[in-house]
Amino acid sequence: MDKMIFGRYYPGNSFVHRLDPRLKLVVNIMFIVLIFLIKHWYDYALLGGVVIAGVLLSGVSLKFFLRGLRPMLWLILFTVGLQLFFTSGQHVYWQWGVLSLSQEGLINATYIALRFLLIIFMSTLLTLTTQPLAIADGMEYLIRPLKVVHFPVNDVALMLSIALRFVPKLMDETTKIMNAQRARGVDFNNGSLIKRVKALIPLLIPLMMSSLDIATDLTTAMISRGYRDGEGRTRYRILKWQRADSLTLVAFVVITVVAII
Amino acid sequence: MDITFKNVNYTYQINSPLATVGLKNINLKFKSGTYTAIIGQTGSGKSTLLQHLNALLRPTSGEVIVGSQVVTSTTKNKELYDLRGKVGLVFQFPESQLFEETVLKDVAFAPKNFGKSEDEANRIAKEALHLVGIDESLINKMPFDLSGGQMRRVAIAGVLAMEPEVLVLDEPTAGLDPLGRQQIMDLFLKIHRERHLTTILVTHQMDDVVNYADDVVVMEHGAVIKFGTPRDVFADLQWLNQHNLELPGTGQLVQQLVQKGFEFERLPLTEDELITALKPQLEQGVENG
Amino acid sequence: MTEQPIIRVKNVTYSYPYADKPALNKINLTIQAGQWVAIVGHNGSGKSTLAKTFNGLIEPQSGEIYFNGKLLNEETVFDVRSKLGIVFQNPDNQFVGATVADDVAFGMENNGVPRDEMITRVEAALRQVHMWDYRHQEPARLSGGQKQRVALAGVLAQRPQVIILDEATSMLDPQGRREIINLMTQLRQDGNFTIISITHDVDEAALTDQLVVIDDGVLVNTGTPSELFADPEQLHRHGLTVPLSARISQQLRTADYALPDRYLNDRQLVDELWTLHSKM
Repeated sequence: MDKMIFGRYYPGNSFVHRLDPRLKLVVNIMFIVLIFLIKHWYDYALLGGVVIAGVLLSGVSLKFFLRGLRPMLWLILFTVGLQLFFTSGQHVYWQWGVLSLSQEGLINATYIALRFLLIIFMSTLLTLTTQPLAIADGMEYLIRPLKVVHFPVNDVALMLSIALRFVPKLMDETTKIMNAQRARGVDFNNGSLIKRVKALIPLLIPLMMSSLDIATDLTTAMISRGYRDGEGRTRYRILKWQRADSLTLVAFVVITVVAII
Repeated sequence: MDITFKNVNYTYQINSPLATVGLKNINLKFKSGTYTAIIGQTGSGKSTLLQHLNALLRPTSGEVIVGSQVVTSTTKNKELYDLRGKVGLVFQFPESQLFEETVLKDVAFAPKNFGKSEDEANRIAKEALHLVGIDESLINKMPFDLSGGQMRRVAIAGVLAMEPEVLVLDEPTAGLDPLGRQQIMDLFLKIHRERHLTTILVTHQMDDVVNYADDVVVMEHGAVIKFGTPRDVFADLQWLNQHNLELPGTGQLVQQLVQKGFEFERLPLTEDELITALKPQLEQGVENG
Repeated sequence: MTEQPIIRVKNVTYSYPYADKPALNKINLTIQAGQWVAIVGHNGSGKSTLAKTFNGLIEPQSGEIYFNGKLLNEETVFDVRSKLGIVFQNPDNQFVGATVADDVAFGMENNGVPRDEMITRVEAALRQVHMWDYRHQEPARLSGGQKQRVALAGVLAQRPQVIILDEATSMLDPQGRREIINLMTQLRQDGNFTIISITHDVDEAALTDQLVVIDDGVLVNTGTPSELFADPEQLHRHGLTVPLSARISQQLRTADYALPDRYLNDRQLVDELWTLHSKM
């Protein structure tokens, strides 16, 4: 259970940790767009440099970044494989039916792998150094303009923060119910696929019931505390944009411009 | 069925930066047929110990011997099937494990998992439901349509239906009202005696300890700091205070009586013991009565 | 303390959807300002349902609720909710904020309290429940008793007139229970609150000024703890117990020992027993 995405925050107080979540979100988005715009090896080197700088500045051991890579490994290998064997080109080294290995394929595959690596490292940098709640706060600020089209920004933000808040609770609940059913003779790990899927029912139904209970209780508590809807509320927690954030943003914009030119 | 802990250690998330000690060098023996209470503050390791009793957790080092089955860090899941059938575990707020469409099906779930035929499982389930005081008329209802107290009883029946030799109870009466609490505790005592079970109860209710248990295990920071009869454990007030442990309900009153000048040869632990010990020290007021 | 009803329940009847009998049946009840009242009853007696009518969480099918003399309706309900705070049973399921301080601020955010004032009030409330040091913690890292103290701080930050503890101690370990009870006793001494405990814990009930006994949705009795504890059998019939001292004195009385026919707390019982002892 401890491999869950939301548990990935690595507590710390480095330069990267202290940056504003809005900045980290914006830079991440710009970075992803940029990756798909650049074409030359030296642009990749430049962005690679940015990532390496970020990793070093975060003070988080490389081990944790590599762990972030693991769930995506098969997807990467699959995509790289496709590029490698299905790109047709001039310089063919090896051919077997529709499969071929060409120089162009090799180059394409390398670029694809690099893109994956850079994007995963950059987003892992965000989740490792930013608390989930701060990410949610950052997102709320970024989608604020949508208020103009009557998008319920406040409600969505509250929903997101409550969802995050209940992740550990639901994980506890899952462990608890799994233990109770294992004690009643359920085997979650062995047996045929059908048997294993069937074993999930005694887990999922109680989990659903307890989620409903939680939701009912939470609604009651929220109503009692005067919750109506998002409008007219004041905010206790706010984000503060610092000088370091402005400087980082300027630096990244410069890098972007350089890379595109 | 005897359960023995030999030099058992358990560490949560071992080999990770978040490793925390759950159990420290536990040596214990729960003798067949005894009723043992485990007490200690929240986080003292009671639940961790409990999950070793039917190998939901396996020791990081040392061994747990349940009947004839030895459980160590390398024991395979497959070897534990028989053991799990012999040790029934009632978790805290067990009603949260209910999932079947009917009360009867839910109670018959465990016996079916442990190899009983449909008919046999249903027969045992009906018996268990009768035992916990669930009326026949309810057995084809959805478990979720019952009251909280009834759901608790159904969940308990679901464990009793395993016909275990060892019954492990984790605060089985938490959240119940006084009458419901007493009924459930009396029920466990009755089953303990009739079926010659080995019963292990984790509790914060010291009255339950003095009223029902033969032995008490006191835990603190993952270690056993005392093992003895309730009388041994509750005799030393200073020691109990030091370890932040509660007294049974009679404790406070007895202390005040002693301060006033009453004398007790043996410390009265239960209400009945207190009354029996008081009577000879009081003058019976026939006219006033 | 003023002798003025803060809550008046008039002829309230409520049935849950699909239920065959009412959860509340023609309840009449007056709660005076500044009192500590316990509403007691067994699981499923209707005591929590009653509390939920006080701030409009449940709308009775007939009857009225008055708060400070004003009828509870759609227009007054939000005002009432800002003046009546509830600490609920399950410590986990009422924690809205992502951190301790956020959670305490939640009610004030709803009522549009300016941020500067929120900051002062969050600190004051957290200090009052001795949780200020934990302000940045996430709920998952707190004990049950600590979570309930945070919930209480959330109520206090709203500057309420009435605090309701809806079985707030029933899921806690003895230590957590003690923490909450001690806090309530202290709050009662310091502040001008009306406190309502919904409970089946006799030790909590024994601390209050008035007991209200509910069974099967019917209000069956009211009185001071001493009045009601004097008749253990009656409470037993409604699925409740009396404090140990009351049980001991009752048993000795039936065995013809000359103890007075009223409720004695621990100290009083010890004194009475000592006079019987000295006569020997």
